[in-house]
Amino acid sequence: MNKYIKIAVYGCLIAASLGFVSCKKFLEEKPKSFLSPQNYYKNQSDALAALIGAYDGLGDNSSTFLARPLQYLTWYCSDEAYTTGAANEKQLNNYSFTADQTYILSTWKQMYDAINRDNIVIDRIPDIPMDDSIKQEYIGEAKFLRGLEYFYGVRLWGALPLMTKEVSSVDEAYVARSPVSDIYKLIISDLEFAAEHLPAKSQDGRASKGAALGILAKVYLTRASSEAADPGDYQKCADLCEEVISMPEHHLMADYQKVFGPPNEFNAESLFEWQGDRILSPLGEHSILGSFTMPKGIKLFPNQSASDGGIVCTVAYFDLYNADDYRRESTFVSEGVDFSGKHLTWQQFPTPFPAPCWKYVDRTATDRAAFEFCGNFIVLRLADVYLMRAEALNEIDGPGPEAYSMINAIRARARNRDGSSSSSYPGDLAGLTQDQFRDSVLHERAVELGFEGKRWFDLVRTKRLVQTIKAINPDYPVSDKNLLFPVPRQEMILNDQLTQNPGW
Amino acid sequence: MGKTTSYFQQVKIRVRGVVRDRAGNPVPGVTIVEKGTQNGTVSTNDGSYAIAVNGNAVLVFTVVGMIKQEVEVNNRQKIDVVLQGNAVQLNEVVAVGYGTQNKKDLTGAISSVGIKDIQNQPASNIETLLQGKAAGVYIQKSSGAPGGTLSIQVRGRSSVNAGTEPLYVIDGVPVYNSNEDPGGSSYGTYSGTNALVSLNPDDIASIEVLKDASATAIYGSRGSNGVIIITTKRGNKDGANIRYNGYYGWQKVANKLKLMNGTEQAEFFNDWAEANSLPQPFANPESIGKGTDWQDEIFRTAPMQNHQISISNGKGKTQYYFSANYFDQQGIVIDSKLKRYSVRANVDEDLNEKLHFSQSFTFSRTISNAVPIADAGSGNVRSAAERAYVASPIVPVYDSSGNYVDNWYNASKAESPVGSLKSITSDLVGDNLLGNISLNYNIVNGLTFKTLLGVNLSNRSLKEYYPQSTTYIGGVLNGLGTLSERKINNILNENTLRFTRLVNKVHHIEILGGFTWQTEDDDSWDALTDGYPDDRLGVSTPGSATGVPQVDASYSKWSLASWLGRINYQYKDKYLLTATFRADGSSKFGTGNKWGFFPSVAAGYRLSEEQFIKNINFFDDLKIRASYGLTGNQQIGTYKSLPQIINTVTYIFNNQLVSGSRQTNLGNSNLRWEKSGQWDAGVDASFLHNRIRLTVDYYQKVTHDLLFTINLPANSGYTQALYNTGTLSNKGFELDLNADIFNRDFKWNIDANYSNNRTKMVSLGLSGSTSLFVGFPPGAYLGYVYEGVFNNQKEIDDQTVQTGVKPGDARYLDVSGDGKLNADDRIVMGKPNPDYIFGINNSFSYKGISLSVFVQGVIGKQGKKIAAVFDPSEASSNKSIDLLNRWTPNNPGSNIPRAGFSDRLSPSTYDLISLSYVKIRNIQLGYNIPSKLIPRLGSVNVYVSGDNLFTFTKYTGYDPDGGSDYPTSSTVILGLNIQF
Repeated sequence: MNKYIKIAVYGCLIAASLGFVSCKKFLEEKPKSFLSPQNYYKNQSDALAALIGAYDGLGDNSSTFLARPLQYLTWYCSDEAYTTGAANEKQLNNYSFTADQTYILSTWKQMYDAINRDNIVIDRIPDIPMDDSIKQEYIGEAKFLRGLEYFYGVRLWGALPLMTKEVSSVDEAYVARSPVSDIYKLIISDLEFAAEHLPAKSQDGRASKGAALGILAKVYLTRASSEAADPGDYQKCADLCEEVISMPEHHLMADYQKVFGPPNEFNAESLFEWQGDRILSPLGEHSILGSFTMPKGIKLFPNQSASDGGIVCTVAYFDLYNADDYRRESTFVSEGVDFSGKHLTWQQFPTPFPAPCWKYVDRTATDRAAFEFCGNFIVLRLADVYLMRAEALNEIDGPGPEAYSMINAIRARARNRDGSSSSSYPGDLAGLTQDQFRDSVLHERAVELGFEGKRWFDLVRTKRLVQTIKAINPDYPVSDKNLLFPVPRQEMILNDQLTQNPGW
Repeated sequence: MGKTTSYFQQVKIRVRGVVRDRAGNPVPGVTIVEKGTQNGTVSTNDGSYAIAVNGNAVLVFTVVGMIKQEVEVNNRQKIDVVLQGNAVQLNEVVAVGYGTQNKKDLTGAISSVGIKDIQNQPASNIETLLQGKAAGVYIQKSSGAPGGTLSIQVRGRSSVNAGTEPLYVIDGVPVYNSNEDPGGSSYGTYSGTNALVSLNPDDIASIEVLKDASATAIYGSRGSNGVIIITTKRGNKDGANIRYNGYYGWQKVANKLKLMNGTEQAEFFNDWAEANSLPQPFANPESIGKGTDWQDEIFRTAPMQNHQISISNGKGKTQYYFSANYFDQQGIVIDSKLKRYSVRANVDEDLNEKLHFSQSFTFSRTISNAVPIADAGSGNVRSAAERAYVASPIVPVYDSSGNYVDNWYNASKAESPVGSLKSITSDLVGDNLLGNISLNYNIVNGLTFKTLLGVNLSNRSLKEYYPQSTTYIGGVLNGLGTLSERKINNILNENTLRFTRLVNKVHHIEILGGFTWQTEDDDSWDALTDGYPDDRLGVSTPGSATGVPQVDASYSKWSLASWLGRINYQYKDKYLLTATFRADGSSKFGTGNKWGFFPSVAAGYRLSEEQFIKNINFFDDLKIRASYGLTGNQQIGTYKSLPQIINTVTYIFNNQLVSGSRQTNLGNSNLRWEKSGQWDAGVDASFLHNRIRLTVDYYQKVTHDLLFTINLPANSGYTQALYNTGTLSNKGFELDLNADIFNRDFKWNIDANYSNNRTKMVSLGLSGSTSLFVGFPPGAYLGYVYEGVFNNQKEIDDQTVQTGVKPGDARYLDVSGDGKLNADDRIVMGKPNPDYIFGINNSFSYKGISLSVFVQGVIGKQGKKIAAVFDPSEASSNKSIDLLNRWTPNNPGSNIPRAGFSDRLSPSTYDLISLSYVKIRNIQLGYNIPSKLIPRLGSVNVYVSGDNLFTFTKYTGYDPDGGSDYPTSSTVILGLNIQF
């Protein structure tokens, strides 16, 4: 008997030792409740899912990046918008904000969240076995998104930590800012890659060749007046604009009003849009741009029960519009009926300002979700490209016939109204000096692209921000430091390699 | 000479046996010498020995603390010996990791709590009984609910984000008292049933708390929060023993809040409304009178009872202990209760001379009917305690037609406290099987092999329902219900080799080495839905509910593989040396850092063995000892080193919703142990013929590489990561004193302990934390300095710091002196840890009568007042009577702001309050009925025991010891122990 016990005991010992040999496997974690990179990025559907995740990084659930904080920064800090909202929004509006401002931090965070998602697609897809042309297209889309996001970043903050690879360990997070010129280099190479590999017409909502070329044109136009300017920038911008304008997939819509709103999304004029749709996705992808820009206390659609709103147009900006400009009535609710049925002008509104909601609501809808929460944010449309080409050509050698043809095409479309009736305003431009033409383009951009998130960038690019704000509100402490936003203080605390922008 | 030796060798025989003390416990380390020769051995940890001796030899059994005994062999081959103690404490055998040791030989800091220290006290779980019983062990009640959780810290908090609870080793199976409940609804308010409630306290024989690194390093990566070893009762050689013990008792809330009555609250409401430019709601407050005391409606006197029968026997080759237990505690909050049924079977058997079998198993079922113990969803569900002060005394419980009143002035998300508590369902049924089987094989003399297989299986299911008719959230969602279940399988295997030898009679060596592995599977699902058709059927009809069901499942697993070793060396019982080592491999950590190494070394010097100490003729025992070692902490969730991808992300392509994926967190392949380096110096002494026994320890514990949830620079794409960084230190002093003041017919024993511990953050490393402060303990926070109120307009006009304030508003200190009041004026405040804690037990006995008084205290801790009750600025709950003295135009000298004051800043020193307390934790009076009165029974003991009867404190909440969501209770029980 003892012999058997001995055998059993020694057997146990040996088994234990063998157990240790296989310890490596014993200690390996094999999660079953979630996916991990080890068992992911294996096939084309994984690649597409990761790409969809990258698109989602543009804005999610009405709260992130393009869907909210970026708009707060650029709308409130330009001469476009006043807010009746919370104190932390008003800080932006009256220029009392500091590097602690919450929306500056959230824009920074969400931009880098989005960039990291792009980097993951760009790093992971090359190793996935799949059709090479689809692979290049997916990578092109991710590079388009990354280029676009860095382009927002470089305009908001200037130099940035340049993250071009998926961050996979904590140590990789502590990165210093790269100079503006390096950021632009990456943006340009990303957008060039995208333009080369993206189709001229893609699924609605996905980046296309025209989008990549158009954003790239804006990159050159912006760089041309920046510290990283290159002598050929204006020419490159003008050439790229022409390339986009000549694409058969894109043309100006005949009726300005048909450019905007959920029923008209992804029209031929549109080059790229961030999408919100509460009907398709009641909990996920909805847009608040419509509900925030509506006039408080004014009834706009049949089953309206709530009185949303909070963002209004400044009187000064509203006054940039000629009363006869079709684009004014296409942008603003300047009169309306309150819930008791009384007709009011904007001066009589509970919040006595024009409400810039028409570009973001569905005029045909009858219920709240469809009316207020489905408006896309148009990142770029062809009218902008026309005006960029006009601006670039004027900067190269003054207003020539081609520059006039660009700006006058936009004015003619406005003049044409909805096609059934036409107006004499705005008339064609002619005989301007280079400076006058420059002012005219800026003005045209203001009324053509009002409340489309372009104004702050235009004012900064043309170095008009400080004088424009001061002219409206001499008390606001706006100065040259406001041509860039401060690097969020929390980020500076977490990463001691970051430096602050001058003046902050 | 050589010839003579060989002659004697021819008649040698092998003698084996077991050395035990009078209680039947094995005595290891007994020196057994053949009288008049050099031939000797030492008993092993299970008290057994084997020696080859002359057939007519005399064996001499010696061990410190016991009376030397000589036994003639007379050619017997098996000689079991019972040694008598000569000094009560010194022969005590204590459990250490993977074995036992004589207390006198310990080189580490270990506190023992014996059965007599914890008996006859009402408690559902063992941790409650440990409160105040051991130096360096700080226990707070998280909840006073039946089966509520406690927080235990051994020698302070040694982690920030990872767990701080000690490791429990129950009959050899390491377990964490982590929450094992299945998930509740997203309004989840019931979580936190104490997993150790499944362990019946009546089955426990002894508890050892391992505190310093020398003691805990053998548990390696799980040692840095201390280790609590629980040993259950076993059969012993005393023979058959049948016992009944039981008690029946009554509990009531230990302390009621002093709240306003109806008139007082109506006046407060009027003042508040006026301050907020609202019409005054109560024209005639006087007419309301006292109104309803909601505390009386919600709290009740609740019975509790416990019954246990045990049978044990130890004669012959088999020893066993069987028990069955029934525990039933009604809660002091209406509609809450806990029941436990448990059985235990512990068996030991000598299969043959070399092979010993041992097993311990307990199975228990706990049934808990809970009420909410946490606030959820900003008042969607309120804790039981909160209901008592949120409800307005102005309204009655029932209206004139007998329905519950569920609304009152300024009520927010109101429901009838009584109606909702009585109708909410939260039924948790938990089954737990915990135990082990082991084989011990004596390979050759002094060398034994042990293999052990342990299991800890838990299966819990939960039903939760909020009725539509009586609860706020149920009303919003037309009935809300959850069903969930969780199964946890934990399996352990240990294989150890132990070698003991006495060399040349003076070198006593014990070597232990082993390999062990443990793994745990955790599988759960839950289903939540709303829109139930009928409250009467409630959660039983999920299929007919109209809400969108949210069904979820989750699975996780961890594994731990370890090598361990220990060497004990003693020279002449005078010099003691212990070295331990453990290598732990854990699945929870990064691929490159799975393995961690945890060494410790300790030395002891028994001065009392030196002649110069003996000459003093004062000390019976005097030992100085010191230790240093590394221990770890791995109490983090599973899979934390891995990046995770979720696939619930959506976007829209071609006007269709498409699903995408995203990585939600940064993997950290370098994730590794939190490492604590701890040194300890201590003295053990006993003197005056062992009547006074003293242990003091001083220690410093520094935890590096904290498992920190750090804030990441956002340019990484992530905002947080689990990362090893930062340093936390604990240091402290501990004293245990045990004195037999009188020990004849009248006995008086004092058992006292004192400890202080200082915790502070030494470095925040890369954490980027804004809520932790170097030099302060975790839990300190930033707050404003409250300076009373502005008594009149002149005081307002005389300052410029605060603008827009009115008389009666709060004044705060402009700490930065910049003339403005803003976030820069906050200072670090709050003392989350006490300055010191103590426990003193006095026990007296005279013949059959015994009395014990246990006093326990926590001094120097600070907390916050209950905000809703003490904040005059808002009026959504009832208020403390302290606020009757609030500032009013007629009471301008007050230091409490006016009702509805508008400049409240929180937190501030206004909210700060002392949590110091001294409690008479337990008083027991017992009587042993003389056996001549009841001849057929062996012994009968009756007692009355009162728990948590008196508290001395300045705290204004329910109890400074905890229970802010479910108050603690005072309990009186009548008990009976019968031994046949």
